[in-house]
Amino acid sequence: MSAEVRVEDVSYTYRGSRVPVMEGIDFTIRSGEFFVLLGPSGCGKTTILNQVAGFERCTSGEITVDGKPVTSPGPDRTVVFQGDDSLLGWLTVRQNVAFPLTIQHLPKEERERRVESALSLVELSAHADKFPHELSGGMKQRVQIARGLSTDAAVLLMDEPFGALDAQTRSSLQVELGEIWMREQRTVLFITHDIGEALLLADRVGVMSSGPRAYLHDVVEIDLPRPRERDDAFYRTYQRLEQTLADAKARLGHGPSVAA
Amino acid sequence: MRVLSWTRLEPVVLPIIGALLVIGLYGLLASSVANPLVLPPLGQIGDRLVAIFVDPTISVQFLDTLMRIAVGYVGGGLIGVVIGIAVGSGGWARDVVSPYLSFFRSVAPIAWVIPAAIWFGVGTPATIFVAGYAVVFPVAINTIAGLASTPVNRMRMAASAGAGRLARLVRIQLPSAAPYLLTGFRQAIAYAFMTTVGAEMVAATSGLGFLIYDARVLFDTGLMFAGILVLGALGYLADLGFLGLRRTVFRRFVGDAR
Repeated sequence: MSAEVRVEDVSYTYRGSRVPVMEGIDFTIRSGEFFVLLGPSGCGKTTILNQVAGFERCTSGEITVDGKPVTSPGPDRTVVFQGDDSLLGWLTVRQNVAFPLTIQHLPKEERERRVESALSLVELSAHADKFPHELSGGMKQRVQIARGLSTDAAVLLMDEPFGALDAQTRSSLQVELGEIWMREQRTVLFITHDIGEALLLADRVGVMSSGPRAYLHDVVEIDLPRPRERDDAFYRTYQRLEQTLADAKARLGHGPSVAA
Repeated sequence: MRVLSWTRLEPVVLPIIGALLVIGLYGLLASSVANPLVLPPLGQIGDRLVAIFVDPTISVQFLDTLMRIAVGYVGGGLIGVVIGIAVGSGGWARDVVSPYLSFFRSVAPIAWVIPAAIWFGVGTPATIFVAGYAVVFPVAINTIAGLASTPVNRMRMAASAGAGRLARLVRIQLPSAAPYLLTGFRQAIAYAFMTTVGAEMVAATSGLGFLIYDARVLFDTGLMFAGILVLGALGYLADLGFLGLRRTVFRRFVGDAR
């Protein structure tokens, strides 16, 4: 269950605006790859994720999943949102995880089997009958991850899923997600502005420049062994990526975003 | 004994003391005015109060009013939800219907009582129409607000799962809007009571409103007061019942009010 995602020469301009948020974004996420988009805020990385999800349309360019152009949201792509407002407060954890499967009319036994296995993957089995408001922030994000994993979606889209969590919860969830991904090997597009998070998880990191007229500055291959550890090699890579991000923010070799 | 601790008794005892105080003060006032036409003595109000429930010719009035309120409330509520969904789920219905919503909302329901009597008949039909009319608007407007307040990520999540428009409406938007709907329906209780009684005074020959209005002919102020007391108590009980529903049946939807 994985698919190739192609983002081909994508530009995006808000309606009524003349300056594009981003332009000429072009990259391919290999099937089963963990791809991280890293960039300063306002560079349009969430917009790219929304376009891959089918929530927004590109102004120009095309996005395909396994060769099929994306025109609307669909069950081949699942999204883990930044906040917890996509959880349904009137349903239990188990019912929330089962929601997409219910919509997709899966038979009851199959549904239950998948929900239980997704819940145990994110270590929430003991909390399956609680309601979202009874959970901590980290647990809520794990519910979202389980909801995504319970489906057949070949592509997992994660928009700064740990952005609102405290540092400790955040780092333990990063490790957990890394382990889950190694077992599941689905294609992941993960958005973050945290260099350490990118390094812990990514096969490759796409580094975006600051916007407007943001562009994809570089795609960096991360060839650290998995599971990732914060060792010397990690920190050497960290410094390199930090420099790349600084160059991207400064739009080095690309000039200012708006002509004077 | 912990069962009889003051903190537990307080919420029950204080209101009772308060009520006794108010009744006592009224009794004093009434006896000092000493004109039963202006302020009837407590005993007379008590008599009429008992009569409303015991005297079959009067209790019929009470039941008539209850029935009209209930039918108007349920009917108007259903229409309100349907209009709210039509307008609130976007699309062409919003542009067509919402001007009428603003237009008719500012017309006092009671203004329709005579046309309603002409169209549907004096008494029960006219009263129910006016009560339903009053209920439609708070329900519809709160439904619209509730649907609009659904977090965009919920809708996106459902769309990603493959949910179509109808499934998103039923499984995401309406449950998300539930706290708003409950607020609308709660407001509507008071509206239904007020308009029903008002309409009964003008265009009915039965009901508590008619009773209160008719009591003027007999100079029976005690009966008027008893009718007003019953109406207030009914409204109070209905609101309590509503809060009870909110805390039980709809609890999981309201706890989610974000």
